[in-house]
Formats: sequence, C-alpha cells, structure tokens
Amino acid sequence: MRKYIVILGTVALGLVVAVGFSMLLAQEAVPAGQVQIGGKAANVELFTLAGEKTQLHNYAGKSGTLVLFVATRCPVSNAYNSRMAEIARDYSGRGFVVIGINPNRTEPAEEVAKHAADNNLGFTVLKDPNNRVADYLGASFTPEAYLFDRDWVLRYHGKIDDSQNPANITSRDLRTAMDAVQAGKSVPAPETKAFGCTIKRVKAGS
Amino acid sequence: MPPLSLHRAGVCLTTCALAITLAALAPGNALPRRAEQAKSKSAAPQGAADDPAVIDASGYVEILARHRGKPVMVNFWATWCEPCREEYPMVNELARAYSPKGLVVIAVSLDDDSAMAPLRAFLAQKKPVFTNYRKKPGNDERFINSVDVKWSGAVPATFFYAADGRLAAKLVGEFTRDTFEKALREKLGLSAPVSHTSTR
Repeated sequence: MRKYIVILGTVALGLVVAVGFSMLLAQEAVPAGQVQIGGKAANVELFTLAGEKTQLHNYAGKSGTLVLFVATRCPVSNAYNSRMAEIARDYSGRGFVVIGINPNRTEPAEEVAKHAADNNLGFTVLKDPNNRVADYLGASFTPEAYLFDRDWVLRYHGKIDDSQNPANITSRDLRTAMDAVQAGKSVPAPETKAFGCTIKRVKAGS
Repeated sequence: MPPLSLHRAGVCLTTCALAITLAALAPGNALPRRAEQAKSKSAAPQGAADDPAVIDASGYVEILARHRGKPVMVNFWATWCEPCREEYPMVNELARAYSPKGLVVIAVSLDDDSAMAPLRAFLAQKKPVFTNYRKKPGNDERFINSVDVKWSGAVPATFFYAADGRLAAKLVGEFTRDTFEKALREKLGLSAPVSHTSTR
C-alpha cells in the first residue's frame, strides 16, 4: 500500500512540475491582465514615492485618467520623457489626470523621484512595489499606456506613438485616443503594441 | 615524360585540396559572403559589409521557412535593452553547445539606423557564432504581431520553434540558462550537450 502511495505521489509531483513548467514556457512571465478594453479598473492600491499608501481612484479626472508605466533606466522609456511631459501639460487642462507608475524592483523610490524632477516630467509618479497593479493590468514593458475614461473604463492600451525616434513618428496613437475619449467618441485602435524594456518584476517567493 | 602515376596524382590532388582549403580559411578571403550571413570572425574592423542583414515581417517568416526541418531559437534584443545585452553571451554559449545537435540560433536586433555604432561595437566584442539580423525600422506593431500576436513587444524575448515550424515555447523577460536549456531539451527535443559547464 505504502509503495503505491509513494508512486502516486511521485507521479502527481511530476505532473505538477510538468504543467507548471509548460505554463511558464507557453507564456510571457506576465499574468494576464484582469482589465480589458471596455472593462473597469478597480480602486487598486499604490504607493507614493514617500512610501505612503494611496489608491488609483484618487487620481480621477473629469475627462479620464492616463496611467503610464515608466522606468528610470530604460532607454526607450527615457526617449519618451519629454513626450510624456508634453502630453501631461497638454491634456491636464482638458480634464485628464496623468500619473506614472514605476513597477521596477530595480529602481528605488528615491531614484524615481530624482528622475522625475531631473526630466521635468510634470506628473505624479507612484510606486508599485510588488507589481500588483502591473499584474492587475497585465503591463509588461515600459513605457506602456493605459487610458481610462472618467468611469475608470479602459479605453486605450498600448504605445504612445509609433517611433522611439521623434523624427520618424507617423501616428500619435495615445493623443488620438485621448482626443476621442474627451470627445465621448470611440477610440479607433484601442489596443496597440510597441517594443520596450520588460518590467523588472519581483521574483516569485520574495 | 613518364605517364602520371596514381600515387603522384593522389599527392597532387591532396596538395591542391589543402591549398584551396587554407586559402578559403585565410582572413580577408575572396570567397563571396552569403548576403544573410553577416557574422564576422575576423579581426577586421566592423563596417557596413559585416552589418546584420535587415529584415521586415515577411523576411522573418521567410527565414523561418528556410530553416523548416530543424529546431530554431530566435532571440530578439537591442543595444538599448540591458538584460538583452547581459544574456547575449549566454545565447552564444547555447549556440555553441547545441548547434552540433542541429539547433539553428538566430538573433534579431531591434536597433534602428541611429544605433549602428553601438551595435557594431557590441557584435565585434561578443563574436556571435550564429546569424544576426536587424529589424527594418518602422511598422513595429505589424512586426510584433507577425512574430506572435500574443507577444507584447517586450524584450528580451526568445522564441523556440520546433522542426515542423510550430512555435513551441517563448521566454519573455529575464531567465536563467537552465530555463533556456530546459526549453531546448523538453520543447525542442534536443539532447544535452556532452560536456556542459554552466557559467551562470
């Protein structure tokens, strides 16, 4: 009897390992986001750079809220610093609140604060220490934009524009989306993609 | 004049074959390079002739089709991606270890035209033993979706294709060499190299 239990246990363990590994290899190391286009974002917890708890819905705007996943050390994210600052300047007067979220475990809050000041980002940047919000939204790289309307419905997700080099931009996807949301119209291409640096997530078990 | 003996003919042929082989292996040889094999093993300074060939979305598909019948590992990277640069030597080691087993290793850089100097310097320093390409700048989204519609575009990203062309696995983000090797063995069916020393 004992022999059968041992065999069964070994087989079960092997199955668990195999399934787990298959899942790992089949996916990016990013949990699938729980908020899709048209879905509502819950009032998830975030942290200020001073380490104080805050919540997503504290940053509600009359027209909506733009969430930008950003990094301090990613050259792609940094290539967009001035463009993100310009969007914040241009659209805050149009009822949008713009916030940045730094989800990288490798980039401490002090560094994030200094980076925001040095680069005149002009918008609040928050910390997502355990990647909970990044996981919740399914964010995988920086810079990555999530645009919510005033009811916290996700209306646009993806890139800021189509070229890291500003000289070669042919479509300003995020601005187009923000104009549409402000006007109460549907966003023409609500899900877009771009190359970017992977988010440095907290390791499992830590 | 005595007739040419078999022995002398054999010596002559062997000498000629050796001479041709040595000439082919000499640096700066005159043999034409294949357009897509842009890796350089010589000590010559990097220049346009050694640059990775530029490919677009359809070019990528063609390359995979060309290698149908062999397992393929494709690593997407860029000089602006620090974890990509850090794992590149490991990709090179895997190519050395598993190419004899039939694995085709390919790297595709996402660097645009303004990054050619750092790209060349990086490749000259890392001396890849596998073929390198560079994605044609522009139409990023189309390229990402043509590789894998489930890929966000985040790098580093490595895609593992079985011999029948099917995408068997992908790793997006930072992973250990062990994880890469598990993918090669368990998803692509490659056997472990005889002498394997893990350096990471």
